[in-house]
Amino acid sequence: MRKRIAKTALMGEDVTMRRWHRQVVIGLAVCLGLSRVAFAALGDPSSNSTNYQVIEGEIGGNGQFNSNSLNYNINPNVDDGGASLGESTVGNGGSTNYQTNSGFNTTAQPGLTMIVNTGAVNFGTVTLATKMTQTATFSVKNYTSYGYVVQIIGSSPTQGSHQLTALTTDTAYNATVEQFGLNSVLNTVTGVGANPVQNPSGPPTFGYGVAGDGSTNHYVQSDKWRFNSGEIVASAPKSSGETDYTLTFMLNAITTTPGGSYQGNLSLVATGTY
Amino acid sequence: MSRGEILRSHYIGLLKRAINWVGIFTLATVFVATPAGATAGILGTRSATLSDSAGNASGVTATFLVTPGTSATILGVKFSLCTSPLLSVTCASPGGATLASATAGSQLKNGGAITNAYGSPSYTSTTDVCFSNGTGNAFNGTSDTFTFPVQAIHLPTAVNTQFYFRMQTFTNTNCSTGPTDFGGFAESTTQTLAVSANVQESLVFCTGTNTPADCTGMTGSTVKIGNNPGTDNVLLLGTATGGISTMYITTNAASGYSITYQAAEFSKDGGTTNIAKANNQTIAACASGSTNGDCFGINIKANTTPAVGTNVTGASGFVAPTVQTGYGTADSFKFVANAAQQVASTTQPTVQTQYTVTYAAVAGTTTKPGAYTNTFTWIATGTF
Repeated sequence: MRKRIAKTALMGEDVTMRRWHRQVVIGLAVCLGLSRVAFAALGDPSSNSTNYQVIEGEIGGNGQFNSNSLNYNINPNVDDGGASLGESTVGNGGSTNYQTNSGFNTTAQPGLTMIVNTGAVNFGTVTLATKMTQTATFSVKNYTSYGYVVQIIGSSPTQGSHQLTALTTDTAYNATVEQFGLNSVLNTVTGVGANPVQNPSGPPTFGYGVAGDGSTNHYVQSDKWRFNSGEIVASAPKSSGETDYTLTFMLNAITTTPGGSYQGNLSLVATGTY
Repeated sequence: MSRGEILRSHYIGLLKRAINWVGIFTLATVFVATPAGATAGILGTRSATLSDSAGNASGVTATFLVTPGTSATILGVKFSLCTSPLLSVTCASPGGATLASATAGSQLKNGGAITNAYGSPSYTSTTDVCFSNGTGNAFNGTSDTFTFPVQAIHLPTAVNTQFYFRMQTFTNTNCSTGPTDFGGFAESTTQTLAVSANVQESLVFCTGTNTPADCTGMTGSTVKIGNNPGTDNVLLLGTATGGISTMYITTNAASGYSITYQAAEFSKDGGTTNIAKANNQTIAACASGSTNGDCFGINIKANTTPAVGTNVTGASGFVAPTVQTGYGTADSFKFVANAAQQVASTTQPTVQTQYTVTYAAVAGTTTKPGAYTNTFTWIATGTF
């Protein structure tokens, strides 16, 4: 009877051991399975065949091609407002100091697009002591930034050794003085030019571009013109959708303006701050 | 201790060791798999300002202004010019763009000259340039600003095209190991605005005997001198008399203008019987030396003997001319017949300038009687 009890006790320990073995085996199997999944995620999830290759799988709906691999995570850049996925909302929301961009187009990749639509500003043959005007348009949009500035760089038109006198301050037309300048707004008296236009016009609108630098009064005074190379003619205080700008150039040649064909090249330089 | 407890302890030990190895393996995998050049941090507020954005522009300077992001001593700074700002994307050159000749400009730290400037590039290529300094500069990642102009950049050929700069900082001069911070910059080439205007060459010149506001009111073509001009016009013996004509000139000729006259002798018979000609002298001096005691001459000054004429004047800002010898001194006269004679000139454009020409003469005791005349042709020539 004592032997039976002892044997039964030993049998009980064998059962316990088998259970432990079974638990360990199952545990290892689970671990191996999980680790396979984990390592698959850590590695490059490339899929390929003879003719095609998927470099990296994507998850989520925000188009982040680098959204999940060893070196990248699924969170958009902090500049985009932090973690967000999906595309249930599309667009921009903000207040005076903050804004968020969301939706399919949200990306950490900075963007700056500037298109000058006008290649030539030709005044033709000018009439002396007469306000001559011409316009040029350009568009700017940028993304993931603290805004942008657009500078005008170059010199006033030159013929031979004579350079048309640029207006270094915002100045109204004066028939008796040689003048060259520009502004970025609608000139109500002259009836030429336009204020910046947000595209789309909304509501809502995603464009925040303004004429001038947003702080000084330069290039934004109607019927006053100015030109200093390097100055800011347009800007946006934050990420902005497309803003369409119109530059109005004004030229006044007088009797002492040397005759000839005046030429000048101006560049518009957009700089985003990220 | 029961057998079950022994086994439990054994397997727990195994599990702990397995967990340790998995941890070590994971860490090793992460470090080995991190690509060279991968950057730990992100540059803070940053911008890159181009000196020119015209498509295909060369010799462009891009001035990078950044807050470093991470506090570190930076020995190498790498710039790339690519079609994508993402570090994970192989840098491809936008068509026509290159950093191959890029050089480092004067760098600033917090607005002042940097201590150890990053100089000659460690390497350059179409897409990349690495500037280094063996000592480097220590930056505070959040409070310092770093300005780095990169010169001699050639921009992409196409206009209105977006492209990107990348900037990476390293704690090594090779711009490969020790990556610290990274940032992308979006840029765009643009179409150059060609501004043009044609200004026609202009020369407005008129002559007459009155003094209107401008040439539109100029009239008169006869100048009479002598006693009671306009009535008897008799030259006085021994006393000079005179009359005037006026000329207005306005021109935008870049190199100015000249005024000349062409005239025959002051004669009663077309050139045979003539009044003597002054030569940079008073009428009296001229007459005393002439055969018949007579003399004729002109100038463009305000005279007292005779009391005729005014100095050159004009609208506000007119350019004072250079007057030829003999015509620019009060009471001194000159006259040359049958040959073009320049009286005045300028070397630059001018607003309306008014000339008053004084014609003065005196008769001598043996001056033959008759009606003496000549015709002056005044010519203005602009040099454009």
